[in-house]
Amino acid sequence: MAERAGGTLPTARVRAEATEAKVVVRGLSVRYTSSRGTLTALEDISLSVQAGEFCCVVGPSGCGKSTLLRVLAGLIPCAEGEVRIRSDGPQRPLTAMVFQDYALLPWRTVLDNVAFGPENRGVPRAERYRLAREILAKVGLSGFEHAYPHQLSGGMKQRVGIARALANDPEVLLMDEPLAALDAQTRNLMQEELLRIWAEFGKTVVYVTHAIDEAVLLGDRVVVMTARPGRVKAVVPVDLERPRTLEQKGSAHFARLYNEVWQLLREEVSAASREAGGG
Amino acid sequence: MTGAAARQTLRAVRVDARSLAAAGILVAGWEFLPRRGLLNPAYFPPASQVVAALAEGLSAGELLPHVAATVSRLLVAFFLAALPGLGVGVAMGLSGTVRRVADPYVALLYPIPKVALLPLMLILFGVGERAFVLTGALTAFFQIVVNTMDGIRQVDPTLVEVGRNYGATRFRLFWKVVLPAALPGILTGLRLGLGLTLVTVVAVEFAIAKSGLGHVVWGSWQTLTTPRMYAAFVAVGLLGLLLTRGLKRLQDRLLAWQTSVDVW
Ligand SMILES: Nc1ncnc2c1ncn2[C@@H]1O[C@H](COP(=O)(O)OP(=O)(O)O)[C@@H](O)[C@H]1O
Ligand SMILES: [Mg+2]
Repeated sequence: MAERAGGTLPTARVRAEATEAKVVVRGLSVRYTSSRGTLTALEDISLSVQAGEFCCVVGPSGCGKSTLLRVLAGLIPCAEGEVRIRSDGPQRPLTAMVFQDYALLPWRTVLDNVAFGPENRGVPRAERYRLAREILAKVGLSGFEHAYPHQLSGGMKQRVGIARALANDPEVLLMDEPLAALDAQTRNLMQEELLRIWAEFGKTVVYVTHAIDEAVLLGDRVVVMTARPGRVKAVVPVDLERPRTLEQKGSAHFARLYNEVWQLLREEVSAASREAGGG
Repeated sequence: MTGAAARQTLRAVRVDARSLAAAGILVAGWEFLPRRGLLNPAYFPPASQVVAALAEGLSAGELLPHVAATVSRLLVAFFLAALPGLGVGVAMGLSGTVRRVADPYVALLYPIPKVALLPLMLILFGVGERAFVLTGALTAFFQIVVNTMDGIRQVDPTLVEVGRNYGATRFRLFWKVVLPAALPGILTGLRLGLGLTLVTVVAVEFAIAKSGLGHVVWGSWQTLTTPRMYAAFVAVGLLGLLLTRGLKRLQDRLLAWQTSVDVW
């Protein structure tokens, strides 16, 4: 297991009236210290996300996107700066993360994976299974309750990952490149699924991706990050009308937004690959 | 018996026809090579003689006490080692401090064949069961420590993050995430520990004990009763097969969620 340097502040839970936005990040910097020295992963990140917003984050690989989500998830202490998540239900967990490689517990059935969060919080068995079945039905996995993860396709595994996060009913849903491991067709299908699920559950989402089309299709805003150390380079509002469909990817408006994000991103991507290439 | 019925029976006892065929060829060779004079029967008695010696030894009750002696030493040694081995392995796997403190000792002692510690045990405990069993227990202990520690260290850190992000307490993080994830490594350690402890126990019996299958092998050499010696070999082999098969079956049952492939 990874050992982490003890930091100072965990992600703070604040009461509803204390802040307007659902998520507030102010002046956040994160450094990793290892035997090879100190690496600045994030530098002076400031960002706020409104309740019910779908906020996408794009940036070159290694720029600190996963690090940002880990801080929001409370997995890395926030040593410098401030992270606040507004809590609207005192019993609700602040965050639930959906991971790129699914990160399902392979020894648990689908049902027990989805019920994992409520189980940890002491929700009685009958109640948490009822909840898990209900959510599995909503993500289209009825009938697979007793399957094990290794019996499922990638797309189905990620539906389980999403169901697990929804079953935990978090204040904010964090998604770290959830579709990156899927083939192109499945990814398209899952993008539609995500739009439908988001509309149904109305969650606040922070969604990391490296696919610009995905960010534009899903997001209310696209946050573009710089190459490492990651900073916020620009925030692009996406004014495509909702409910959104895959067909919108073909529109001129979509292409304009795609290009805007790509222009912001391209020099960062080449900076990142120059650094990777030059060691 | 029809072919299908035979296959079904084999499946029921979980023996693959290919394994059975390989064993058949070995036994056939073992029977006919000495009989044809291609192998010296004084050194390599035919399989039927060995089986006869084994059957006679078991039915006449002459071998049985030795089998019992070996089995009881093995089991006592194994269970003496398992609990502390699991405990130390888990502690070393979870805590960097414990690992840094204990690692030099484990690294130093693990590779020593534990039979080599028998003289020390004899000095400490005198010639007797305590010394024999403890020598065997040391073998199992270090094997279990090393595999348990590695099993826990190799747990996917993302799964630990899942546990923490989904609200598992430290207690539940260990019991519901880390331990199940490390179980394959832990069970492998137990299986190897049991097998290697059998090796140590037989070697100890060989060297000094007045009972047990190792002792039978040594005694048969001195009196040149080779069929009896082979009978003891076969008994040790079957014992090992039985025990590790049993644990393997437990492992397969507990780890049904894992997938494995035959590469060829
Ligand atoms: N636990 C860690 N220890 C040291 N460096 C890390 C650790 N995690 C990530 N990094 C480094 O921090 C940088 C940002 O990583 P990450 O947040 O995973 O980027 P992204 O998700 O945008 O690809 C990378 O250079 C990565 O190598
Ligand atoms: Mg990442």
